[in-house]
Formats: sequence, C-alpha cells, structure tokens
Amino acid sequence: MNKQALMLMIAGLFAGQTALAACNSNDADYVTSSQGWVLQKSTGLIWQPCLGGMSFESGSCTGTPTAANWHQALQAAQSNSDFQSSEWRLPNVKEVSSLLQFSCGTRINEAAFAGQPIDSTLWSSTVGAPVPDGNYSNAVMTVRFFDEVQPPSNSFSYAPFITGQAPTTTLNFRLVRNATAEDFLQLQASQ
Amino acid sequence: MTDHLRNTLKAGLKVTSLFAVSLLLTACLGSSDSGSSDANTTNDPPAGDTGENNQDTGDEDQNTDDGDQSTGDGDQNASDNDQDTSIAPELNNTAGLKATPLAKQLILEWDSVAEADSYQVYFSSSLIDEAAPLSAGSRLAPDASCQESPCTLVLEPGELTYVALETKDAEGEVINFSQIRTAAGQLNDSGALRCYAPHTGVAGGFDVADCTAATVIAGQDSLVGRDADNPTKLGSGSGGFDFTKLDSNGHPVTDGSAHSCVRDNLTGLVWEVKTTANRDTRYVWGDLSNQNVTAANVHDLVAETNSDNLCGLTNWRLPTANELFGLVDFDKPHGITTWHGADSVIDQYLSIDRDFFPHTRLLNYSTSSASRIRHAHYWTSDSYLNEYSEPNYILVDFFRGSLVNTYSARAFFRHPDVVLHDGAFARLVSKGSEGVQP
Repeated sequence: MNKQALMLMIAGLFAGQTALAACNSNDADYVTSSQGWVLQKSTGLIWQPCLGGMSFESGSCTGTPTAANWHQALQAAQSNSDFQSSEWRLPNVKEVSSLLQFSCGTRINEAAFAGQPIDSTLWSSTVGAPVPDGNYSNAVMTVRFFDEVQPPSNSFSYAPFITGQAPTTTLNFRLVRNATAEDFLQLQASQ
Repeated sequence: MTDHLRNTLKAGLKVTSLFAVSLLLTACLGSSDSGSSDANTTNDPPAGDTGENNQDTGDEDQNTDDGDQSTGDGDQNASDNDQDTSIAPELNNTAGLKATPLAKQLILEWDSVAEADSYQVYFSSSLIDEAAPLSAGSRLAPDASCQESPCTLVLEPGELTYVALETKDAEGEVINFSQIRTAAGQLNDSGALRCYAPHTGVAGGFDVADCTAATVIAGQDSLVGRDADNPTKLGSGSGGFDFTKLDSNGHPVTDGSAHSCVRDNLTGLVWEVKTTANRDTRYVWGDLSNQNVTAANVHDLVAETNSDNLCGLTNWRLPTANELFGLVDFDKPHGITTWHGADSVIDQYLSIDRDFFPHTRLLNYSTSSASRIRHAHYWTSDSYLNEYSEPNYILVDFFRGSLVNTYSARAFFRHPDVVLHDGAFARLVSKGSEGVQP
C-alpha cells in the first residue's frame, strides 16, 4: 500500500466510513469455497467463516458469537459438524495468530471472516507452560484482534496481544481443520 | 468422483493433509508468496510521527527514510512459503508412498510391496508416465539413496514435484507404480507437549497429567498436530520442531562445536544465532539521528550480517512477526502470569529452545518483588500506522511467548521503577541459499 492510499483509508476512518476493505491486506491468502469454509493458503488450514455460535447462511454469518469458557470452546469443537466435517478443532496459538493482519492494527481479514467484531479476543488450544514455582498453570493463550491494542497502563510503552488468560474467562473462538485432498477437489470443481 | 477415486483417496494416500494444500495453490490460484522482503534490503518502518508519549527527544516529525515503505501489509502472510505442499488426488498410490516435507527435501517412505525385487524412485515437475517414466523431463532419484525405504529426495525451494515409485519383481516386470505430488514447507507447531487435567480445588487451574489419562482435557493443543505425531526429522528439536545447526559457512555442525546459524527444516528459514559479542545489543529501527539516539540501528546489523556472509548467506533481513513467532516454544516455561521468579534462574525461562538459540536474552529489572519487569523483545519487520497516523511496531516477546506492539521505533522501555532505555534485541532471518543444499 502506498502512502497516498493509506491516507485515503485513514481519511475514511475519520469520516466514519467503513474503510474495512483497505485493511484486508491478506486477501490473496484466503479462498472461500462454495460451501463457505475458508482456505488459508499459506498455512494449509481450513477455517470456519463464522465465529463459534454463529450460523453461516446465504454467504454471511448470522446470530451471536458464543462467549465460551475454554472447556466449552473445546467441547464445541468436538461436537461441531459444520460443512459436513467432524474434523473441526480449536486452533493452536500459532494458527490463530496467523490470522492477524498487521495493517490497521491486528484486525482479521473482514472479507474472509465477516461478522467478527473488530475487537475480538479468541481462544487457542494452547495452554501456557507451567510457571516454574508452582505445580499448576492457569493460563490459556489467547489472541486479540483489534485496531490497536493499548498498553496495560500508562507505565508501559508496549502492549501484548497474545496473552495467557484463565480458562474460566469467556471468549469467542473460531474453529479450524487441516485441508484434505477432497477439499481441493471441491475447490477445483467450483472454479 | 468415482468410487475408485474416493477409495484411493482415503486408503492410499498416507500423507498429511497439508500435502493437499498447494495443489490448489499451484493448479488453481497461483503462488501464495506474499512478497516478503527481498534479499539485501533493510526493512524500514513506516513513515509517520513516532508517537512517543513521554519520551524526551523532541516531537519534530521524524519521517524516516523510505517513507513509502509498506505499512506492514506486505510482510505478514503467515508463512511466505515459497514451498508448497500438495498431492494430486487422482494418483494411484497402492504402495503407500508417503513423503514428509522438509525444507528443500522430502523424506520418502513406502510400504513393502509383495514380491518386490527392486524399487526405483522418479521425480518430475509434471505427471510421470508409467509406461515411460523417464520421458518428459522426469529424473531418476540419485542412485543408492532411493533404492529402499526410507530415502531422501532433494528438491529445489518451492519445487512442486511428482514422485513415482516403480516396483519390479525378480523377472524385471513392473508390478507396482505409485505416484504422489508433493513439496516442502509448512507452519511450525506450537511446541506444546504437556497435557493438562483440571487442578482440583483451583478454579480454572491445570495440573500436568499423562496425556493418556482419562482426566486429560480433550482437544488441547498437546494432543493434536505435529508436536504429538513424533514426526520424521532431518535434524532435531523438541516436539514438532526440526532444526539443524550450521557453522559460519553454512554447513551442518555434526561434532558439537559452536554454531552460527540454525536452519528450520520445516519452514526452510535460516536463523541468525547471536554471539556473546552481540547478543546484548539492542537496536532501534529507522533513521532516528535527529533524536540524538545513540543506540545501534537494526539497519546496520542487517548490512553487517550480509557483508559478513554469515553462514554463506547474503539475504539476511528482519523476520516477519509470524516467522519469528514460529520459533516460540510453548513447551518451555515462560512468564505468562504474574510470576516473575528469582533473578538467578529467570533467564532460563524463555520460550525458545536454548540449545539451538543459546544467546536469547532477557531484560531484567528487579526493583522489587512486586514490580519485577522483564521482557525479551525482538524486532520483527511488521508495523502499521494507527488511526492517528502513528507507526506501531510488532515485536516478539520470548519471555511471555507473545506478540506485542510498541509505539516507537526506539522500542523504548518505560516503567516508573526503571531507567529508560532504547531498543529491542534482533535476530535476523534468511530464506537460505536458493538451489543449494547446505
């Protein structure tokens, strides 16, 4: 993106217009199948187009995303059978973070993943390693998508957007599965 | 799809699902390479006010050179993989030919075929004709290396390749001809190996548990993926990681001597290993000369590393956030909670494999037990302009296993209890040497 385009985009933001398309810097990385699932080419992952709890109907996500604790998110993955697949799972922390687009903050690609609120923190399946002084851990890695993550206080000059959070927290989630040969037959057939 | 084809798909192709990926990429959509930084270029931060809040050195606009540098949109595609991995589902694979993708090469394995007397592997950029396997540009796998399973097949970076296995019986008749399509490269797994079960009496707490225990929480990371698969490796590393130490000329280190670089055999990237001389150097990014910044500049590190031909390579650059985050090892204890540990042991708690990356550093300010401040911030090439047109920069924190943003190309660190300082650490990356197998 050149500077001029960027300024136009920023102008759009200040004008209160939706400048979302300009933030989708990774468009070429995503392909939405005729069924609705999204292939992320750079990782070989198939993502659900909607957050957990929403429904995919007529090409868009409807309903409200589920605010789930970590156990509920894992269980939702186990029982999910969307798009005729039982392989859905909660993504690990690197898989979730691969969806971060570092343009306009860390926002997700709104073209491929319409319906995700701009400020969304998603569960991963990754438990933070145990702290060295205790026998238990209580942190699950989460990834925050947002315009701009603010430092925790005025004392800090930096802000994390991947953090460990207690599994009792309620957050949104997006399910993933590995691509299979049949997925490619379907994509080829529809093109 | 015919029933035969479907059965072939389900029964014959013992490859990971990732193999399927770039059949589509290549056949239907073209390359997914996002155009990461070119060799010998230095990543510049975006233009704009640096947005430093309380920093002292003037608020004059300090547009950096190369002000039209991207705002971070070009650099961060998850893997920038030139290497794609795929399999053509229509291929016959009754020999159970399986390929494990590694950077620039494949490890091939197959089931033993009944009455087989000899095996021959062919590879080609196009479909290999069973009737004339050496026609149309296909090549024999090097002698001896692929006469029996397993064997290693060297590929050019990003080479999409058909691999065929021809099996002959004692009379020299072809009794099996199996073929797959594949290549190398994929996302690193998280490294998480420990399985967790709920901790009795602590809401939301976990205990480490045997991964086969009934109480283990289903669906957690350590039960899924490459880390859990005990994969075949070219090098070594915990879990799914597959690293090879390289000496200063780029050759694999086999005798335990010091190494200068690490090749990630899964992603194909080569990483700078810091030295005792430069491991503590913190860098700023971009031209900050008008702010009286005296800290080292990451431009200079890139230029020097390239002019030094570190590990025989001249295409060193800052890694993207996803590339660098790919090195984070979530099996290693790290500072994700409020616990900050004793000074004497804290630097052991970095979420990276310190055998391969021994000089990873941690900043440690221990002014009181309640406000111990530590981080291990390393630069990435990713940045963006916020809504106020201020650049934000993405760093990887190997202490917290996190990605963080910061407001300043100085990556200054500010806390009420500690002295201000400039800069973050840096570890450079290279796409490796094209076409040459170190």
